[in-house]
Amino acid sequence: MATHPISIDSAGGEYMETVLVIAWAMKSGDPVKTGDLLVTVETAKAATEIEADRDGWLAEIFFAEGQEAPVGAVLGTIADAKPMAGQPASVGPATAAAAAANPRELVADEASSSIRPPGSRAVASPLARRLAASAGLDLATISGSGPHGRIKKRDIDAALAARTNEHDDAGQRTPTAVQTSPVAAPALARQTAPVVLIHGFGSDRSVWRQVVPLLQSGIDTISLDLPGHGTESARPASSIEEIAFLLSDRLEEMGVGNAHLVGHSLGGAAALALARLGRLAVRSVTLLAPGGLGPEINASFIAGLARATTVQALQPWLTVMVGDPAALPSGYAQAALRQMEKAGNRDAIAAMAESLFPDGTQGFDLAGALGELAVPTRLIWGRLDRVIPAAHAARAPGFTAVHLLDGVGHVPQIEAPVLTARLITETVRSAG
Amino acid sequence: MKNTPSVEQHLEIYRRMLLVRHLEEGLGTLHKEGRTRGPIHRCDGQEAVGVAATAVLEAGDKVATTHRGHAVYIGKGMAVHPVVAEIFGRATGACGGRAGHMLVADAEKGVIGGNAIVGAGIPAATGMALSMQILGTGNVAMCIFGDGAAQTGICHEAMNMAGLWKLPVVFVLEHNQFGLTVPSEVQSPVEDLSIRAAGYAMPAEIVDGNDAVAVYRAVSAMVERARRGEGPGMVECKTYRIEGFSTSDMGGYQKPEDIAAWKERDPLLVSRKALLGDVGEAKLAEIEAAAKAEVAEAFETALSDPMPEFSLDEACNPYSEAH
Amino acid sequence: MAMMRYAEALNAALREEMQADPSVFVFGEDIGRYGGVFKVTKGLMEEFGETRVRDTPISEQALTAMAVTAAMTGTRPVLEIMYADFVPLTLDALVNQASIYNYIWNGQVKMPFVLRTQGGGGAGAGAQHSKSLDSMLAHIPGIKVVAPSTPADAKGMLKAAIRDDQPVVFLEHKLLYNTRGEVPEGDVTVPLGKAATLREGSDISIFATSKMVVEALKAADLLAADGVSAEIVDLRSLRPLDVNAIVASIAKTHHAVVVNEGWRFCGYAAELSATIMDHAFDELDAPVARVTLPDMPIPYSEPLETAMLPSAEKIRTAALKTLK
Ligand SMILES: Cc1ncc(C[n+]2csc(CCOP(=O)(O)OP(=O)(O)O)c2C)c(N)n1
Ligand SMILES: [Mg+2]
Repeated sequence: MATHPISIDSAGGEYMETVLVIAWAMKSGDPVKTGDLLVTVETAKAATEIEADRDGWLAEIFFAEGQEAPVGAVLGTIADAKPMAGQPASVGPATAAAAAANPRELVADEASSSIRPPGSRAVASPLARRLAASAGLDLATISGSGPHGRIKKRDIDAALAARTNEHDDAGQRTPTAVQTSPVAAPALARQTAPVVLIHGFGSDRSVWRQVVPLLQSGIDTISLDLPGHGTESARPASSIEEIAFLLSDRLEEMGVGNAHLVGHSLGGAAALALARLGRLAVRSVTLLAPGGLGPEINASFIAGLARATTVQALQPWLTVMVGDPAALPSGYAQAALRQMEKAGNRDAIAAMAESLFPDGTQGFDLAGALGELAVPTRLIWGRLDRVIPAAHAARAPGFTAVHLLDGVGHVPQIEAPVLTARLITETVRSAG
Repeated sequence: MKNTPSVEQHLEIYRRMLLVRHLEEGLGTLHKEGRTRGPIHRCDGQEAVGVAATAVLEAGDKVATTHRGHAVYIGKGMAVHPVVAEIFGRATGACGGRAGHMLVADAEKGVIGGNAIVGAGIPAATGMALSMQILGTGNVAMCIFGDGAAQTGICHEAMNMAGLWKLPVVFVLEHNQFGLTVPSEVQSPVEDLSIRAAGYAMPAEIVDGNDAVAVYRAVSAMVERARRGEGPGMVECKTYRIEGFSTSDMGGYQKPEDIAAWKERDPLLVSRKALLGDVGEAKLAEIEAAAKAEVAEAFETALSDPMPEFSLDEACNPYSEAH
Repeated sequence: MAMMRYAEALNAALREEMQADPSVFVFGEDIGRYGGVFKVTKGLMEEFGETRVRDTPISEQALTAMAVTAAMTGTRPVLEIMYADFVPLTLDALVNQASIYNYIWNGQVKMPFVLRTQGGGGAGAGAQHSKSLDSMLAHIPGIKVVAPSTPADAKGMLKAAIRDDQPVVFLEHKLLYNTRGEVPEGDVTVPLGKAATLREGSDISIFATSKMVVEALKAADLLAADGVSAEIVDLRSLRPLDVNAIVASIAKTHHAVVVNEGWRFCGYAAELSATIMDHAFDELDAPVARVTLPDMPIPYSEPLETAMLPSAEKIRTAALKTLK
């Protein structure tokens, strides 16, 4: 079925780059007669009406009301035949010729306001691209001051400063207010964000002991104990949200408003929940075998871990935890037990297991929180993980870097500390 | 004696040796005044080798020489001014100021050319001879090389092929007793380097390198053979480097008595003495004055000649289109 | 600390290493009686004798190949190749011999030799005595290549190079030999493979080695007058390259100028640019600028040579352009 573009070439003034779609006069599927009013757009001078140049049916609408469209973009299409319900009209040759870039991509990839003609790629330095991405800025809305109009860091800085001013003017920016976009990093206070490491269920912050010294020098770290764990044994939590709140409070107390998150297993879920909470400006996220991406979890492992009181009882569960038992430092079981004794938190942990993993199922889903992240995100999973299946990594959204490690089980930070440190460093560095 | 230069030829050799001498002395003076640039390798006292050896050659013959090649440039027919101008980096120099004193060339005159990679002139001349053999031009290539160069590996490789293929090339060894500062006996276990020619099936002759006539005779014999297609030959000219390795030589390793003894056998004195009986004092004095004036004028002109202007060499552009 | 010339610092390093280790010996053209054309080996023959300090014939190809096997069999040779322009004559020994044995013979042999040479233009020495062939050398796997810019580094790195069990090419510059600087006394080595930040700055990073560091420092002064804060990183070692120092500096300034006195095409500056792109792409706010020799032979005449050589002024221009 052939379709024909509804274009606004003629409607745009010579010095205009975009127009605003004010109103569509009909909806998709309606019949169209030559001369019918299709859509009203606002140009520099006034509202301009675009009429149908043929008979047919309004097939597709690419720019909704209220959206800005670049001059020359295809706003929608008229089909020769009535489109069947639920079946999108294919883009015919006429459309392809009319716009070098598929307008649908324009809508999807770029923000609604573009100051660049369609199909032209924003020329920006790698740094500017990265800063814009982490601040949630659309490059298409920024004009570059560098050679050939290249967008440089200073242009991003200027745009961010302008944004900050707007917010201030609108009185929206109070220090404790929850930001509307939970993960938009302020980007101006770079260099200072520490890496916050969050361990998994039944463990404590010492689990990062091997990885921390391997991180690139200059990276500050804060290893937190989960509620009910380690030094926090007196304050258990019963939901992932509660964990996020408690962690967030602690970070706030420490004056951390800006951080790279690294979380393992339950700590991974906590990191996602923390990001979703929006009280912290998250710069990057590295997740190791995180919870929250699927219902399965090895219930007997959780129970065994929570219950074990002797080395003999704990050892087999620790073996389940790793891909190759040789990867466990010798004496690890003793040390782990001693740690639990010392913390005296066996009951707290058992109680948390009950509420977080009811009936051996992960009682929370954080795939949505993961999908919302707008900062560099990395997922690391051992292919031999017998606690949470590595198959959950398949739910990672497209922007997430996924690393599946051969020969590694549930704890990459112990089994592959060098690689883990490197990947954390790279995530952090890529966020600047 | 066979191959002895005529009086006229000898006079011309003498005249060119004078030009070279004044050139070298002029450079020495200007160096002391800080008006030269980079190291300069003078050949005073060795002029007979470069001038008399090349005096044998025809216009179509080619010569490759060393970093110490001033006598060869003038001997093979280059005028003084383009040489001096080149040494002073002028636009009017033989190579527009690009080459400097060590790498002078004048392709039309068959000088291709000076070479500051020690030993590199030996395969260079051998390659020219290969081309002459293939084209059957009847020309001869000549290499002037030092006792230091004789120790390089490439010397052996090139001479082996010259002997093997009977190439029309003549190797003129300018044995001035030193490599850079290293005396001959520290470079080679044998004193007469030309004994090595036997290993390449080439004839060799050792001559007094300060006697232009002796050099001329020996080189002529080798050039004639080579031109007849009988293969390469070598002439080892014993001489001495009286002025140090270069203008940056800090000295201290040459014996003053050696220098004095060799100065007494200065090739200009040797030739002058031989010519005096034939042409008389007045003629010699006239030639001497003219040579001096010619060089003085070349210096004067060259020093006020313009400097070249820089531009990129398109032939070296690594991109397929101008960039 | 003692005030020393670069050449004297090298001399001290050779002397100390020869005193400490009888397996160290030096050889090369005119390095014995005469003390080297740049006087780096002055006095060594007097002190250590003609067995350990050898004047050689003009035989770079064989000398280098001999250094390789002498090093394999118990000595620590230090070979002087008078000009970097003669490095091509040594290349077979480096490329086909020295670089391969440790690996293909599965670590059975060591090759602790140092090839010292000097390059660079600006002295009116013409097309065959002025080149910098850094990239040709740094291209070879299994061989270290260093090019210190200060007397202190010259001494400390030469000592480290002599003690290194891998072949090390030690690049000097004819116009650095007479430069002076403080040199720590005694047995102080400077590790190979570590860059030094000679001047901190926040706007642009300039990476250089050898004489180009001197030019870069001058450029930093010019840039300061322009209101630009330039960071000067002396890489010191071309291979192994201190990539962390490069990344750290660019993470701070987001702009980079790389300077090398060699040719541009396939040159060392090209390698630096690519390395920066590999490791710090997302830190770059502008393309990396290269300041190099143009791709052509080095002419003799002063205005021609000067026009070609990288200089403080050219570095400054490149920096300002990068910051546009
Ligand atoms: C391949 C090479 N090695 C070393 C040098 C440095 N050098 C220049 S001239 C010279 C001595 C050459 O001795 P010789 O061939 O006897 O020529 P002379 O200077 O005595 O005329 C040396 C070692 C060089 N130019 N090329
Ligand atoms: Mg000699």
